[in-house]
Amino acid sequence: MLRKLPFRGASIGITTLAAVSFGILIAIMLMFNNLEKREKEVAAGVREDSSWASFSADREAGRFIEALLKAQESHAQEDIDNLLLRYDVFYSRTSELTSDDFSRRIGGNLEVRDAGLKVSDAIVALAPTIDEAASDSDLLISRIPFLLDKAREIRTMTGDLSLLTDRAESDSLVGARALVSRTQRSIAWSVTILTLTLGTMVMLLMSQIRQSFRAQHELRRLNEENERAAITANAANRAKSQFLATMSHEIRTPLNGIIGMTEALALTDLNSEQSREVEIIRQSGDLLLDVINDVLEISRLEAGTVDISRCRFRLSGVLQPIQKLMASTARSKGIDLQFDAQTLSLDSDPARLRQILVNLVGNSLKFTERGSVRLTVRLLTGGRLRFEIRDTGIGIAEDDIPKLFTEFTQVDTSMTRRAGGTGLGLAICKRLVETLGGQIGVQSELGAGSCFWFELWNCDAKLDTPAAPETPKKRTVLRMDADTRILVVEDNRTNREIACALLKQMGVVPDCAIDGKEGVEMAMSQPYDLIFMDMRMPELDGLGATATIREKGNTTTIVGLTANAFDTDRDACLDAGMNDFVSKPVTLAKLQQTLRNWLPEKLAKQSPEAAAQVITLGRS
Amino acid sequence: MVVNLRIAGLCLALVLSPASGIADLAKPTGPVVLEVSGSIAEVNAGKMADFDLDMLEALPQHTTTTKTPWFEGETTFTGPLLSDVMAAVAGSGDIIKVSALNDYTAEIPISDVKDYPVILATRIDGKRISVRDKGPLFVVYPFSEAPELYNEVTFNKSVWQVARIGIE
Repeated sequence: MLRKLPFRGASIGITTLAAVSFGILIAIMLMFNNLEKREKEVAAGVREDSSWASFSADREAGRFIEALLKAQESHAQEDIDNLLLRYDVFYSRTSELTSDDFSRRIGGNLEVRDAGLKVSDAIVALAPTIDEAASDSDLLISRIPFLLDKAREIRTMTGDLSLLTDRAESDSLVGARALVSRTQRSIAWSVTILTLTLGTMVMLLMSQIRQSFRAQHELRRLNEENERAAITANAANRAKSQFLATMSHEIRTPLNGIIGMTEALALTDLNSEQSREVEIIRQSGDLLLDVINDVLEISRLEAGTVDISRCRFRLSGVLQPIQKLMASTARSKGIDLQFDAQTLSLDSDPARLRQILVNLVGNSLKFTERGSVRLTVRLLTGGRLRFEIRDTGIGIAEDDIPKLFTEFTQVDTSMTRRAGGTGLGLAICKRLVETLGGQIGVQSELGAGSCFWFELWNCDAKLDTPAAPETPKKRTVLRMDADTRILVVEDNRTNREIACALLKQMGVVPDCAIDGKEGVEMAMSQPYDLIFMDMRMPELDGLGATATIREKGNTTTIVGLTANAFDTDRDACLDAGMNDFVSKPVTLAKLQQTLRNWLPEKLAKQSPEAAAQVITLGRS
Repeated sequence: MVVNLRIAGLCLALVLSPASGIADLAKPTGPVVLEVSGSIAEVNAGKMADFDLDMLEALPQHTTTTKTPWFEGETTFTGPLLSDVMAAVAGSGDIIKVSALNDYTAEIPISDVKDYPVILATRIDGKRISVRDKGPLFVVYPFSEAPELYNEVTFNKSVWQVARIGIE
């Protein structure tokens, strides 16, 4: 701000100086114009010389006197005629002496004018004396002495007039010259002032340019500083993302063990009570995975890369596990948890929907001490599916509602400390609902409870006929030919055992390698139908091992096992020469899908029904 | 156009004069107002040609109405063209030297009388001009017709009280 003031001052100064310069320029032009006009007047002026008029009068006076003297002496008629002619010529000069121009030309000098008039009067006054005697020579001769006296008087006057005129004319000339030189001096001064003004303007402009240059420099410096700050901030953000990815990997690895082993356990011969408990362990594992995924999810949402996989599914398939999962929490807090949904199917991403619902229902349970939490799902007109989670909890102040769906924001910190949580849930829900195509919102009254709702649009929801009464679900397990040769390259013992246990369920006894190096050796020593290759291993990782195998000309199908949730890692798998990848945790379903895709000729030859081993998963 | 006609007239006069003029240049009957000398073929007083006003007015007359520095407003001058006076004396030369009663002399180049109708006025507003009124003869340039002439150079050639002309 301070820097701007001299700027403005300079601008005003420059504007003023420009105006002054313009004024001076106009003045100079006017003065030049004046000079030129004066010069033109002199050059093309209509002037008969006043001095010449006076001089001529004086000369004619002399000649008249001469003629008088000659006539007086000779008395000859010729001389008398000449005398008359000289008088006439003398007389003719009077018109010049009396004209307005005579005195005006020499600056209107009154003395000269009066003298001119006096001479003229004196000449004209002789006319009667001469005219009376014009035809009478004797009379004229007798009047010559008188005429001589008069002529000599006039001669004195014309002499004086000549001097006077000369002087006046010189004065006038000097005056004119003085005027010209005064004008010239004025012009010189004006030019000097103009030069000074322009000089000052140039200096002001230069200082302004310097100021603006300095300001630009400052601006550039600030920009560079900001850029550096931005780079630092970006680096910090990348570090955070990297940390999240690493953490999630570290947590997911043991979790994969829990989930995988639970799944393997479920396939063994269990009584119904055991089956139920195993199922709860598995679902708890899934839920824990969800929490980790939440953290990962927000990273991915921040990056704007969320992958949605749509399919047609029954709503009850999503709701029932959630209800079962939440029931124990609700029971322990003495809260009545109700799910009220129409029987319908829809076209959306079941995993995402589950994520949203677990978040919202869990949230409601968390902030409700007594009363009820009720989930209702209704199909509205236009195919919109509306979910409402109504609780009798503490409610939310109206002012806090806008903050609810923002990342890392929790309304009441004391409450949060009591309730725990990442504070990411609602933000993720909002992003997910919007990604699926819908809207999320909340109505709440402090102390009376809240109602979180969201609607899914374009999900093609349809009412289904009620499902048959719940029967124990059957899980079919794919059988492979006994001679199917599969190699599992995995450094983690738990994961290796999970993979082996699951493959054994399908009738395949795989070989195992404990690191990339061993994996390469085994892959090259005997033929395999398919190789499962872990990504992260000591010595030689999955990508390196795959590349080595491919370099040696081996074309065995290689499927990567990746715990990395980021899509870039999956691209790296394919770039290294892998045919496919399976994301951890490795489940039965994923393995079956992979084998069905890549080894269709190794599927057991029996008819599917006969071949399928029916495993009953206990449900209570 | 006017100029061309005039030049044609001048040429015609120059051609015709020697044949018809030798016997014809009369002697002045009134007071002599103009003496013409120099390289002239027609004479009536020794080597000179004298004119009185009647002789000049017997030549083709021309009228010029113009503003001058010597008279107030527009003045009408009448008299023979200077070129006709030249023709009357069968004069040949480049310069016409015009002298006044006060011995003032000006030189008029022959091109002036070819290019412009310069007259030797004998009358102002129809009246003869006395010596007291700058007469009897007055060289008049057509200032109104040719404004470019309105300057000191031409004023100096506008001789009044003309008494003698010499052709060189």
